[in-house]
Amino acid sequence: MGAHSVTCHFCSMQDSFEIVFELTSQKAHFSKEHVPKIGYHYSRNGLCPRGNFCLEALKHTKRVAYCTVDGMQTRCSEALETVKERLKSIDPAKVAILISGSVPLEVAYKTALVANSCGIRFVSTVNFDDIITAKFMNNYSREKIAEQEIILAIGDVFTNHPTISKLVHDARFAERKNFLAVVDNASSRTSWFAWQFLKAKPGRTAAVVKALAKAVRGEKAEVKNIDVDKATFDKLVNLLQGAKSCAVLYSPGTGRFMDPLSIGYWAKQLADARGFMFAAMSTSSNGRGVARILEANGLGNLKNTLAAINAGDIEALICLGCDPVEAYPGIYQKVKDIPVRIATATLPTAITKIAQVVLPTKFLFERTGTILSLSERKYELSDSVPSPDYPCECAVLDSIGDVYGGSTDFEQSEMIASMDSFAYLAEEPEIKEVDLGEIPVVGYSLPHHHGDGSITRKFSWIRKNTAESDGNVLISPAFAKKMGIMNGDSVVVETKDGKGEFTVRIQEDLKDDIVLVPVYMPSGRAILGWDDDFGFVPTTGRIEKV
Amino acid sequence: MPETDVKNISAEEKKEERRIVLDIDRCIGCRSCEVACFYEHRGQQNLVHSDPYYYAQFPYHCRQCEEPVCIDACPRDAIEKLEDGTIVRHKFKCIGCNSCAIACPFAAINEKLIHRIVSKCDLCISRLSEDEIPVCVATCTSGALMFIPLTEAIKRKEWGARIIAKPGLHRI
Repeated sequence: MGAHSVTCHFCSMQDSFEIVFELTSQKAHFSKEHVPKIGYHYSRNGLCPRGNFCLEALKHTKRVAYCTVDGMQTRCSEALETVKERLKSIDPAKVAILISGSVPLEVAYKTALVANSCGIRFVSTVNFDDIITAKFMNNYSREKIAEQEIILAIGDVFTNHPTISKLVHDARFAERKNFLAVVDNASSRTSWFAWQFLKAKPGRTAAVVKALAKAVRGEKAEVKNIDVDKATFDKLVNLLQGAKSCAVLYSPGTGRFMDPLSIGYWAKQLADARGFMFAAMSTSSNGRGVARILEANGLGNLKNTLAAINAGDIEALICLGCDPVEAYPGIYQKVKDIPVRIATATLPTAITKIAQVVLPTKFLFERTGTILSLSERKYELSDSVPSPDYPCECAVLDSIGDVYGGSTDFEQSEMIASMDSFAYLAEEPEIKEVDLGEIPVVGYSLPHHHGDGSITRKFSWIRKNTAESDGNVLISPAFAKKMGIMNGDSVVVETKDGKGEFTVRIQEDLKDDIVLVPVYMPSGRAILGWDDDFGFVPTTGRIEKV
Repeated sequence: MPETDVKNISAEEKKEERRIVLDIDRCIGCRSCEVACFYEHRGQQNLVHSDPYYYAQFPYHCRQCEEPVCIDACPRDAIEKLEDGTIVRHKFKCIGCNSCAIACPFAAINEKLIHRIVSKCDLCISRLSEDEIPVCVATCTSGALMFIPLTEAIKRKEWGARIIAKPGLHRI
């Protein structure tokens, strides 16, 4: 009974955000007597829409609450025995483990230990942006954001991380004469507020950020080649060169940029050149820690793991709190063909429907362990919300260890040392310059959806209020006029990777012949381009009225 | 930017009429306030978003009018103006006829009926009684929503005009 103060599951600025749960009973989690209530005592800085969903996440009516084997409800011990039994006949080299970015670092390290001692090669987090942003050491303090003279946002920071908007606004106002500058390839929720909006062509953002970094460092930068507004570019360079303080916030998102690693590298170079604050912001900030631990242990290669699944080389897939099918809709059939499919899940998503063994797991605010914050602080989740004693990921990892004779014991200090040994990106990556032609197809998201939307689409507010309007493609008024498309029309968007039917929403501030597709819907992800190193990327497409 | 923390407000200020005010130049249209309202009122949403030209999104609250036409329109006297000016709807009297929603000149009353009952913002009156601020204000991510005394809100109109003249406002 009483209040439990835990860190927000979704927020990437965990240093300051806590959600207080006031539980009215200590009885079983799903009983009628147990009525958790969110208190807003700690939320003077605001809770994003996703944070508001956490109450429903805890007591969701369709929450995965018991183990199933081949669709039949069973005891957890029997389910874990089934895991062992089915893995016995499978070569560990043909096992793949995909892991959520929201599991504590201990689970990530345990996964790495089990994988390395058992000979499992295909282990990774499920999000490319976790892997990309993990490569940069952040130099970030949430408390100091509002004091910065300039905030340089690269990507749609406000949509992907809404809770930072108050601090950025505080920097803009409060008589400080501070500025928000945005670099992006399409108008966004962040660029609405920009004093200077440096708009890059889709596919060329990395070159723009590189030119900006070089110009700020006083090196020669050719603006002609990168096709941006020279006046805006020069104004921004002058501003950054004269700034005493600045925060460079980089949010790659999904399907937004062609070359997110290069953008991150040059954004970091820009920040380092002037001693500015820098933050690379992933879907969940802890995902960076998970990615670092795996990579530091010779694992974490999502590209190879997905390639192995696509090639049919995997005979057992273990999904720890994540859903690769919703994240990468193209692999659905390949996953379905894998002989052994095991998943731990909180809510019923696509993977739980095709997994043979499903085990319930905890949300982050029910977990204990260590997580990594955006400011690189590692801290303990000590006052978590009580939950039923689910076996969770650790029990599955122990079972794998039992089958293949792997070790799962470790000390906390080993884990920290392992993460600290991670090699950050030091060398300049080669920029992939691509001309996307007349109609680029670029990904966009919404603040109330998280990542691939597999969890958020289950919430009642979404289902009741936005289910019909979610999933639109966004086009500019001029483009709509040219194509003879009206608001609400059905259109088919076709790219080399696929095609899908969507409803059109005309967005007034979009200026170019650009099509924005929703990355929080599988239908949107299915038509975006693909790069083995970066996952979904912008692509060329065409749009036709149905 | 003054904080809207009810704990730091003096007893005199507490007695003052207070209103929810939106600083449109801060609102990012994340709908966090709308989600919070939905959960606070157990699925009965009292707050909706405006979406002008599919461009800018922002919440529009009940303005707690001085001369509320919704009260006049209600055939069952289900809407009442309290001493502090807050206009509340008594849900057990409401028959869901939609008269108030049609009468409201600001379209601030949600027409979507839940259990045949019209929903209307009441400034989270149960939270106010516990010295809390309305849940939409508490959860606003951008600091756009404020819960401030009426006199302060009137002053801010002038301040707001100055903000709109700032560079960078590309919205409406």
